[in-house]
Amino acid sequence: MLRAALIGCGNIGMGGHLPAYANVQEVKLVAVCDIAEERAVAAARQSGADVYTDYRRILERKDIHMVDLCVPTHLHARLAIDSMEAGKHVLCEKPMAHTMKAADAMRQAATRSNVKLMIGQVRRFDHRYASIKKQTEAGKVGRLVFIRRAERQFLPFPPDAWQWDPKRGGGVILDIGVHVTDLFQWFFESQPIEVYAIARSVRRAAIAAESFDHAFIICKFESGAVGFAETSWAYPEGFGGSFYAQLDVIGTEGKIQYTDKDSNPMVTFASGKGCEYPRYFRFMSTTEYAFEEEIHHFVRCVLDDSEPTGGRQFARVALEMALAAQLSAEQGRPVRLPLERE
Amino acid sequence: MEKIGIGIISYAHPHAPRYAASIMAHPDAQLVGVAGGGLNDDLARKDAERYGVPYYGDYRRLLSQDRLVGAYVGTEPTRHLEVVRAAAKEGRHVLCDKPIALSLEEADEIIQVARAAGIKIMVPFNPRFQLPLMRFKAALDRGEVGELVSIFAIKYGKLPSSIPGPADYGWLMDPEQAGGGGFLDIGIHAVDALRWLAGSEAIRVYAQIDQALHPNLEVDDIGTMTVEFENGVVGALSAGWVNPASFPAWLDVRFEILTTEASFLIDSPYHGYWHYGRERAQRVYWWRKDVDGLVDEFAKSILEDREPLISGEDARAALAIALAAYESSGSGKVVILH
Repeated sequence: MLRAALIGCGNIGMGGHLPAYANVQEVKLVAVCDIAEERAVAAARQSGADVYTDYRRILERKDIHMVDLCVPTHLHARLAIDSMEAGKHVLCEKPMAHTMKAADAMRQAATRSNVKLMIGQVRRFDHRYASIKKQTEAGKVGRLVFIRRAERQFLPFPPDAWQWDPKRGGGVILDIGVHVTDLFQWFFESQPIEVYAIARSVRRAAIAAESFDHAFIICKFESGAVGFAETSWAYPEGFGGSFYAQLDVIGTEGKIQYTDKDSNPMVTFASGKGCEYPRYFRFMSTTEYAFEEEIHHFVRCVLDDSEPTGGRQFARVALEMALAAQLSAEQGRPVRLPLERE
Repeated sequence: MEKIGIGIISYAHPHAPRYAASIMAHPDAQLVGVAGGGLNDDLARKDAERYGVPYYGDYRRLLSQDRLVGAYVGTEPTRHLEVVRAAAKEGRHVLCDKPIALSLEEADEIIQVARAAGIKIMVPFNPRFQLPLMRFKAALDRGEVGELVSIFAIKYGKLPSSIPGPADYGWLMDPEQAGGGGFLDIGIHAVDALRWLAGSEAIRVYAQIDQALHPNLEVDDIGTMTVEFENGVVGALSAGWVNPASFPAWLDVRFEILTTEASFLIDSPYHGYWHYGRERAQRVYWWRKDVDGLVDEFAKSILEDREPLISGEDARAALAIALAAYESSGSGKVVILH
């Protein structure tokens, strides 16, 4: 049985990761940490784990095998590297980091310390997308030519939340962009060669933070395939989870169309409330079991000493594409990959 | 009031039969003749017979018919200029199917010829008369939904060679006659819609347009485009001959719109129902409000003697954006429009 620590008890830590540990047999959550003590205490109340406000105290504990990092993006590299140097395996939330330099330092630390490092590209564990991927792998739509993807929502966080801040979170291109860029490379199984993006600051919080909350991203791949995505936090309040995602996968022998609305099995009608599509999952974007499977997969990799799926090499490419999209949106031109040649 | 006489020139375009039916059904218009003289003359002759109107082997004879006031032109776009010249000579108004021409120079000439002769020229871009988009545009213009931010348009059809029936629409897949493939053929409707909804002129276009789905095709079959307008609105378009033969309808058309205060997800602009056959399911669109609306607008612009809602200049602007997309796809660069 592995013993894990959750560092960062904010939105994704509390909503996505913490509840998942109760359902993964091979791991026990023994410590939770947040710089805001009341959040760590709340997490401990739910999980029975020990409370920390300084992650370094967790790294001193010899009985802890892995840490799960759910902290703001700009802190990923520092916390991940410290953890790996302390001999801990690291499961880190996406995006991998906020710069390529930070991402590469993380990879090097993993190799140097001989520990597992996995980035939580959670879409790969979402049954909907895993099922569609299985169809494409089986050749059901022929050779993949094009994917259209939309991930849209109303980001419910206050203007001072780190997600809006281009330095801490990177805005929608980085935070949601890595989901779509990773999905493209996962499905196309090809190397990206060029990225183009147009982005806007729509909501007041994004304008104030000088970051993008609405973006269109086009990715070209070596195989000739093209991915086209809209990522947005600027949809109106009340934009429901039933409408979050769109996916069109187009191949030489057919196409697959998915929308969240299609798989929402119920509409309710009530006096005063009108018509509603109820949400089945805590997050609009993904299912609870996707986090469980993600954590379970990582735990199995640690136990079996195998390399995680969607591991750090994929997360690095996903990040590189998202950073290229950010650069493209700022400069108004297509950006060639790899970025270091820019 | 006497009904205005409208004729059909050429059944080369797959939409010609639909226009004939729509003109027949219009309360203020009357179908007064059908002209062939090119592709699919058999179909043209049969429709003339069915509707009890004269058939002309030479469209010039239709143009000189007394009762004719205007004509729908469904020739290949390479013949538009020639037909518009002939119509101008006779003072007949023209509803000219898209694209208006294959080059901006020729589009300019068509517009010039029409203006000099004082005839109206309208190009039928379907989305302008699709109810969900009309509703959205009206709400936007009334200021009810804030400012427009972006539109993601999807416009997928099937390969023209799979159009059922005996007609020959092969020119749509001939680069010389069509000027492009699936992206231009089906995408230009959405290109116009993006510009119309944005209410602004395009300044930057980026695109990737490929022949990737159908082997042995000489033209493109799928395209990806972004267009930025002067007022900051972003248009995104995925278009082409993308739907496999099994797709339960000919078209897959979607518009996904964000404004500063609302969003509109339009799954399909048509009114449909499902028909489940023994072997396969079909999505049947029982009301093409758009074609009726286009014919109505053409008739009204003549009756009220005003500029049609979709002018030659509008068609030229849509063509300019589409051509910029092809240029961007070729160069890999952003194309700046003025």
